[in-house]
Amino acid sequence: MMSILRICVGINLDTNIKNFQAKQLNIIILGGGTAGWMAANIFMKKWSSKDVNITLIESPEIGIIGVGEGSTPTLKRFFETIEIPESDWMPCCNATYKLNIRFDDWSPKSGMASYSHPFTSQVDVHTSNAFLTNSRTRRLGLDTNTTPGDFLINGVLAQQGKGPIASENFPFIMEYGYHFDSHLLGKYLSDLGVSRGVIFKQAHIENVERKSDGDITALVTKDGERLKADLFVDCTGFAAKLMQQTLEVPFKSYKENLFNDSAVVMQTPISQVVPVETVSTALSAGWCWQIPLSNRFGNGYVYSSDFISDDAAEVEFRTHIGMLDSSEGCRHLKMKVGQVEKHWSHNCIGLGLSQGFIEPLEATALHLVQLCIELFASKFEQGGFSPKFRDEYNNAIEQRFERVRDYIVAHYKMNTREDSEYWRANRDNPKLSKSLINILDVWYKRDDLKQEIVRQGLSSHFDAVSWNCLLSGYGAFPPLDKNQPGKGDLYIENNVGSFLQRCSLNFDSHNAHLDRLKN
Amino acid sequence: MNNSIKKVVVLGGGTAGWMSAALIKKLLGSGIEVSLVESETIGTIGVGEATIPPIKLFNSVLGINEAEFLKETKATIKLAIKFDNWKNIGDSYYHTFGAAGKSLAFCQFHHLFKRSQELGNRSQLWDYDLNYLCAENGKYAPINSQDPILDIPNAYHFDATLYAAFLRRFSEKMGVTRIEGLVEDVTQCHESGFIKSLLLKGGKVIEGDLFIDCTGMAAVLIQQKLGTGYEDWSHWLRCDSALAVPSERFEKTLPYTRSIAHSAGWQWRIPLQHRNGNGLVYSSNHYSDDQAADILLNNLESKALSEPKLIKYRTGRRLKQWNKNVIAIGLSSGFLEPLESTSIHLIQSAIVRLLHLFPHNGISDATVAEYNRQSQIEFEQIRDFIILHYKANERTDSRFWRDLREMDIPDSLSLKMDIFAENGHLFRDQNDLFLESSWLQVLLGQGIAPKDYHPIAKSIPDNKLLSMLEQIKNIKNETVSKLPDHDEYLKNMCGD
Repeated sequence: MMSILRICVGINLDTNIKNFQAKQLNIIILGGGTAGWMAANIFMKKWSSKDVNITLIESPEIGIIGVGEGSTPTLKRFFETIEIPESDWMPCCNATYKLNIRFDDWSPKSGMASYSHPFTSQVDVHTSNAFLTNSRTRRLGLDTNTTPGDFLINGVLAQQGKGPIASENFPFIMEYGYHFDSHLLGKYLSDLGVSRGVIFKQAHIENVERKSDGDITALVTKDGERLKADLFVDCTGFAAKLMQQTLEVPFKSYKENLFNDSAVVMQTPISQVVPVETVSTALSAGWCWQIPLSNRFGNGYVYSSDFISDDAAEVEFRTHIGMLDSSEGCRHLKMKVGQVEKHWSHNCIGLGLSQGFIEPLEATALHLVQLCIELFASKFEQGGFSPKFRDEYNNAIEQRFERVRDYIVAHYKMNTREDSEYWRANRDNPKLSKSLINILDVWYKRDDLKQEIVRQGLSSHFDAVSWNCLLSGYGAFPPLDKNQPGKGDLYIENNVGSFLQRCSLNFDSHNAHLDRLKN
Repeated sequence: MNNSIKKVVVLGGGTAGWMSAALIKKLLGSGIEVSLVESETIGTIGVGEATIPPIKLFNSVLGINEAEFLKETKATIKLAIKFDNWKNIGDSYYHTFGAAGKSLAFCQFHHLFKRSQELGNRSQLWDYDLNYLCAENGKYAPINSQDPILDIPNAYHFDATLYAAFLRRFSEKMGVTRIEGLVEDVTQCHESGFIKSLLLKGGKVIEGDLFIDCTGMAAVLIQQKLGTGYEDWSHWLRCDSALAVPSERFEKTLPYTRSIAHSAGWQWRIPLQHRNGNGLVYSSNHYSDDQAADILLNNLESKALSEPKLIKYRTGRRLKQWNKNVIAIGLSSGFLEPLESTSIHLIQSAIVRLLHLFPHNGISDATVAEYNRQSQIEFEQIRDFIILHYKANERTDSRFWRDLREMDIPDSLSLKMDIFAENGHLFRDQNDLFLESSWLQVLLGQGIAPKDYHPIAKSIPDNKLLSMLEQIKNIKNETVSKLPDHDEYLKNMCGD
């Protein structure tokens, strides 16, 4: 029996690869949000030389969530991959540059009212070791500067309100992300995709046809049209029409690690000077984002409905953003944190919310979408639908989700707020992964955190600098030693401040950056 | 001011505050208004995580369902404390809540045991103790039997913060009013000095007839306002600092607390359902806080789950635990290190004492004096028992232990030690929390062996004695073998 199976699989695998190399490949992407259009554009670009047909089907009846408005530097790579310059897409999407995330009021008791988690750039190689060393010596009781934003170029630029594009004589590559209007970005990518050959179809899917082995063969529209394809991409958001409703891939909830399940969102007018950072402020039962676009701020309060009612959350949110008396309405959203057990099942992959969701605290939603698309493309090119590559893909993505989750969980675990049961429950929550427990154990025991990050192979998720930003940013340190030698602070001894100050002279204001894009 | 007591105000919402509010409201009911003032901005110490058996009585008087309690407070069963390196490095003994063997009329079991040793018995005393056997084998379930020999007295380990939250919900349901706020000022009656009201930040005024000070070491009312005074015992109990740190749970939940002596202090390990509680109690004359943190972290047997939390304290007791119309309960009433897990018990016993002497018709000097007298005795008895662990040591590895061996101890304690060393006799002072079996285990464990046994032990023929001991051991071992694992018991009680 086993051997017969193996032979069948063998044959199957063989034809699939052939399919992809020689024959035509038909892809249907279901759902026209940002995830769907990102996938359409990347596949189009990557496989332009192959015989690939890409159809994106969007239901005219279903709206998109469209609140994910911040990105990591992977979005920069995305536009580089599809060869679109910033001057083209950014003005269309009211986009701004994002260099940093600032966390306010997460750890008031430690004396750190605020800290930064800047994106690291090439030039940081000269200063980040001083940061890592300082945060270790501080753990040993020495009084050193451990403010993350002081050691990284993007942190310094963010403090000065400067953009990330340097004058020509600055010899380092800068990394940064963007803030954007996700509806406009969806629209932009949709127009682009169509202009590059993606077939766009508006239809409501009523039925899904499957083969006896479970693979999807076709989607059937309300009007009875059968849309056949070899590969299906589920971008239908939380509904997960293909992944969960059709293929019944189980969903693994993160509710026990991450309590938040709701959000309330609202826009406010933009300030005269447009910041280059997202601000994330801890409130009584969650946190509030403030994302600057060129024409407005997007704001949202992510909270746990177990600890605060929707009404009370709205009042707290409006008070925080100064919109208590405004007659304008808020949008309330529910969210489900977790991931599907398999991100690639049969001949279908989930992308975006249909594959899972981790709250937007580190703006990882589109980041994960893009990593998935890239990894999928590379695995698919190597092995088509073969189980080996599918399993590798699934394992890798599952790890991605879990490690991102861990980094987010650490934000809650390390809080020192005393204003509500919510924060205490988060601090005391013992539901931590092995990986996170090991990281924290190394930190508390004053051991080498970088070594542990490397040992666990975590650098590609969040590296030692990111982890040190977080843990130092929360001021998670023992009390200072009574005897201070008065030396050993590498911020001072390596002249980090003056070095970065001089670097920053190569940059001008964010507003000037945005003006240049318009012209 | 000799008005009847209608309004009780509890200040501070840690374990002490909510235990007080709950029991007073439960027992005095509708005739008394109980409110509790606490501030979310003030943290609680919340490290008192181990208890002793009377906590079961406290819970049952409140009518708390045990399964719900275990689940809500992530509690585990505690049958004993295991002391490592206390007598000397490498030595271990248990102080169980049970008792070894079975006593005869007029003759405690350990006399019989000592005689059996002369007859060649190679077992140790604890082999006859069901709590010990359960603890060693990680077993537990209550046994339904009339036979006291099959008793397994137990207490709990629990998350004190969760316990306080649990009691808060419970108290609020009974009608205790919780008031959120920080005390800014306290007003007193000019003549009597009695506290009249608390002024909260924001202007709210809380009036009361009787105030329970549960503000921990800050002792906001009893000390800061009334200047009651403190008796310092640090010449006997020389540790003055503690570091507490949670760590990952073990795969198997052990049903006992562990106390490991280090060169200038000792380390606790308390198993809860979701994590272990750990801490190091030490003398800051011997370790810097930094060194202490290293010792603690390096001796953890599982991964640390947070930065160690530092607590500084002064061992001793409040001179009057009841002063004017303020009663100090919890750490405001004094501090004894958690070596025998007595902090939560002291809270409980203070509340019960207050309820016995409750001044519903007004506060009289006689009542206050009696309350203070009983409180003092209780504190001193527990103090003596803790000093015993330090005094009777044979460690030669550090100055700390050598000095302790040579220190002068309270007369009450030296008398007890001398009598036991002489002829094995144990006596329990009236109302002493610790029974003879507790004193016995610690005296023996710390290396004080009686020279002689009681002559009654000779009244049994040799063979009969040995076979009786054998029989007791067999019954107990057989009982243990039938008991489920501690984890299985917890799972049955709490679900998954």
